[in-house]
Parts: sequence; C-alpha cells; structure tokens
Amino acid sequence: MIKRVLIIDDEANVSKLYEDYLTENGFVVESINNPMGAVDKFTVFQPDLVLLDINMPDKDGFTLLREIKKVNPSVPIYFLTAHDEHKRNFNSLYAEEFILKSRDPKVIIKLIKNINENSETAASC
Amino acid sequence: MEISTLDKGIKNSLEFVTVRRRGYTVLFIGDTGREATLYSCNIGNFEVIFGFNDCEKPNNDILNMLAKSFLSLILNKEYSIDMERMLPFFDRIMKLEPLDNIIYSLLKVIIDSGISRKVGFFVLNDQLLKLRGIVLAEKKGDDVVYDNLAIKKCYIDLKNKGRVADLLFFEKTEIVNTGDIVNENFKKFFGDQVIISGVYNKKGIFGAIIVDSDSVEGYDISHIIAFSKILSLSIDHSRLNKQLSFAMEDIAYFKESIDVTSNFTQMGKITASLAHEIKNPLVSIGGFARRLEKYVTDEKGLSYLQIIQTETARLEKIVSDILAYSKLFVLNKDKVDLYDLLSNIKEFFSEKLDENRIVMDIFCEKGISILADEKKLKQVLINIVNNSIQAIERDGNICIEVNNEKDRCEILIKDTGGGFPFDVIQNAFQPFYTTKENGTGLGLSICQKIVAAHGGHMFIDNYDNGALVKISI
Repeated sequence: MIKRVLIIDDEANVSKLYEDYLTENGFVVESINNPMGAVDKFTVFQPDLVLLDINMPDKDGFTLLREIKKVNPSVPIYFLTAHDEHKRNFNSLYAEEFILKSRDPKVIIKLIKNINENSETAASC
Repeated sequence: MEISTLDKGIKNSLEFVTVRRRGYTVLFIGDTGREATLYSCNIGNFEVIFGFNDCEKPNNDILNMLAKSFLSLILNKEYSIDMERMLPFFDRIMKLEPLDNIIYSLLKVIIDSGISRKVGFFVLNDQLLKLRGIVLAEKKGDDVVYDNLAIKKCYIDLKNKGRVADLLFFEKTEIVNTGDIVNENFKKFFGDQVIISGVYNKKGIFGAIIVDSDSVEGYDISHIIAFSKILSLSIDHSRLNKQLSFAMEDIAYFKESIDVTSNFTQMGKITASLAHEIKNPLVSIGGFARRLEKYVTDEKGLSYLQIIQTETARLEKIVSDILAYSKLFVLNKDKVDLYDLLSNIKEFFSEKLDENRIVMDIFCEKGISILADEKKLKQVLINIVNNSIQAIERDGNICIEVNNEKDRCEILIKDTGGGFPFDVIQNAFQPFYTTKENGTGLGLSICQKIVAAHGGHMFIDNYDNGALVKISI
C-alpha cells in the first residue's frame, strides 16, 4: 500500500507541483531537490514510492536508482522525466514505471491507485 | 677587325653604341646620359649608331668597319631580343589574361623585335585537318595593325600530310613553300613562302605561328621557335590555371556547405538542448495554472488561466516538434500492410471527415505491404491528411492512391483544398516554415525526414483544384 511518496527532482517547481497534487490526494509527500542528499533522505523518510527525475546535475537518476535499490530494493521507483527519449533505455533500468512529466499529473495518481487496489486484492485473497 | 685594335683616340671618345634593326633598338652599349655627337651607318637591315665625345668625325670606312665589328659581335652570339619588349607579353601570361590577349601581345613582340613585318596565329582544326587563321598582326607605318576577319578566310590544308604536316608533327620550324596547300586568301597575305612554327598543348598540335619569311634572317628562326614554345607553355599555363581556379571554386563551395552543415548541426544541438531546458518550466507553469483553477473563482481570472494553459500547450507542442525534428530516428521496421494502415487512418479521422462533410477514398489493393516503421509512417500520413482536412475546411474530397511497383511503392494523397500557394511548394519542407496561425512549421519537415529515413522521397505539388503529396518509399 503506497502512502508515503518521495520526490527527487532538481526542478523545485516541478517537485512542488507534484508534491501539492499528491498531498491533495491524501499522500504523505516529501521532496528533495539536491540529488546528492537523496539516498539519506530516502533512508530517513522511508517512502513507499520514489518519483525520480533522470536529468539532474551532480548525480543522474540512473545512478540514484542503483543506490536506492541497494538500500531497499522493494520500494518501487518511478522515473519522472520531461524527456521521452529515456524511454528507449527504460526496460533495462529496473525502474518500475516511466512517467512523462505533464501539466496534469493525474497519471501518477491513477498508477498508484492501481497498485494500491492490486495490493488490497492480493491482501484480501 | 677587332675593337681592341681601334685607334686609341676613337676608343676613348666613344660613349655609346646603339644597334637598331628596322627602327628598333636591338643592342645598346654605353652611357646615354653623356653628351655625344651621333654618327650612323647602315649595314643590311641594321643601323649602327655611334655616340662620340670630343672627336672629329671618323672617316666612313672606319665607321663601317666598326659597325661590322659590333654586328659580328651580336650575330655571333645570335642577337638577343630586347627584354623590355617582352615584359608586357610575360606580364599578360603571369596575370592570366585571356589567351587571345596573350596571342595578340606575342605577335606584337615578334613585329616590334623586327623579326618580320607580318605574323599570324593559326589554329588546327582537327576534323578538317586545316590550319585556320585566327589573327594577323602587320606593321603599318609605326603601328602594329591587327586583322581578325580577313585572316579567318586563310587556311593551310594538311590532308595530304605533306611538308607542313611533317614539320608540325616533328616540331620543326623552317621556311616552307606552301605551294597549292594554301588558299588564295593565304597567298594574298603571305605569298608562297612562310616560316611555320607549331604551337602545342598537352594533347598535341594546337596551332602555329606563321611568319612572313621576307627579310627574316636565319637567326630569327630560333626566336620564332622560342616564341612558339613560350606560347605553347602559356596555353598550358592558362589551362592549368583555369582548372586550378575551378578547383578552388569547388573547394570554396564545399567548404561553405561544410560550414553550413556544421552550423546546422551545431544549431540543431543548441535548439535541442534549449528545447530540453524549456520542458521543465513549461510543466510547472502549465501545472500550476491548472492547479490555480481550483482557487480562482473569478470568471476573468479563470479565462486568463485558460489562456496560460492553452499557450503552454502550444509551447509544449513546439518544443516536442523541435525535439522530434532534431532527434535521430531509430526506425522499428516491420512489414506494414498499406491497406490496413490507410483504413486505420480513415477510421482515425472518421469523425472529423463526417463533421466537415469530406469524403475520403482509398484506392489500394489488399495485401500490399512495405517494410517500414508503422508508427512513424502513420504519423506522416496523419499529418498530410490533417493538412488536407484543414485546407478543404468543408465539403470536399481526399483521395489516397497506392501504386505498387517492383522495388518502390508510391502513396499519392490528393485533395480538393485549393492547392498550395507557389511559395509553399518552394518552402514546405523548410523547418519552421508555416502558413498556419498555430503551426510550428515542422510538420512537413518531420514527415520528409521520416520518409527520407526510410530511404524514400516526398514531393508536393498542385493537382487540378487541390494539393498532391507523393510519398515514394
């Protein structure tokens, strides 16, 4: 069941947009705009889902994905990027989803709701 | 008589000697700046002028002997040509003046040097085997007069491979009796006897310098040879230079296009990275505008937010078009059934077509398939059909025809939307060229790029009362 979401994105405005939207939809959300502190933040915050940007200075999303998976491989990570060309490499990257940033972030809610419903069904079985 | 044996008084008072031939100086020894009394004597075609200082006039015999001594000096050494007269000729060669200027100048040098009073330049007509007159220079009074009309009617026939032909072939320069191989016009100019010296280029005989042999001294022939050799070299020189200048032009052209290409590549990279950078801010502007709608109740405020969102959407479209255009295509080629694809497209547009009362006809046999990236090909066709719909607006026809040939497949899209204006036909594939109010001007450029990536071609033209787009893939 996804309740806590960590957003890692160097674009503060974009992360704020998603943070507000998710918070409004009942999630507990925290954002970090400096990728260098992201793994520590992940360890402390212990999210159920990570929304991870790819193009970031100092450390890109692919590197962070490996580092986070080392800490806790069971937490799903969704790539959240403005650049669809990364989609080509997506399959081999072990991220659970690939989401294009959009003015309308409802895709994420839909995805999370799906996961939550599936896990509920699984739990009730 | 040796000069050293001259009377000491004469020797001491002799300031200078000038030897002239037919009015032109061919030798000068001494100092003209000194005051002197001039005495001259004529021997054959030569005039020897002595400048004496402080000396009574030597008697004529002595002068004559002295003159002959000087002449023998010159003649033994083969008399030289005044370099100053040659300079304008060499100058013309070096300045790469046109060949005819060089030839005119050479003929003038030959006359000015006193070799002959009449000299012509002839060119070999390979097919007719004739030496044909091109230009004649003749000394009239003090001037050199050129003729390039009457001389063109002069020729030497080489068909019988007689003496002249041999002479040219073996690169000899001699006095020849032209006999009956020349025409009447030639005889009028030169008579029967001329000196012929071949002019050659890389391929062989190019033409000849023909000199009136009257009063040409034996040693003049070596000069004529020298002149014809110089002319031969200058012909090659001028040809080589012409080739060089063409090569330089080509290099400049290619260099320029390389510059343009690399500029475009650079521009493409900059544009792509710029487009990337713009994407994130657009997400937040559009996203927050959307979120604001929840908090704003004022109608005007809501309409402003709507404008922000529409404009953001437009910017997003431009950015993604730019990225699509600048991106290298990776094609996922597979067998594409054209009938199915076109039916899909008709289905895709069905609502719009009905709404605008546009009839779409598809002429495509079932089972025609090509190797292509279906998604991308669909993108191309959607773009073209969409353009057609926009052009027709209401009531019209769109016809898609598929002609399957051996190794190519042609897809023709015709509409009744009035056709393209002329400048659109010229610029339709130029990125950012658009006539639409909301267009990015990248639609057709992207289509062309996709078709080209498939190894195909795309053409646009007008057809009856509409536009015609042809995709050959």
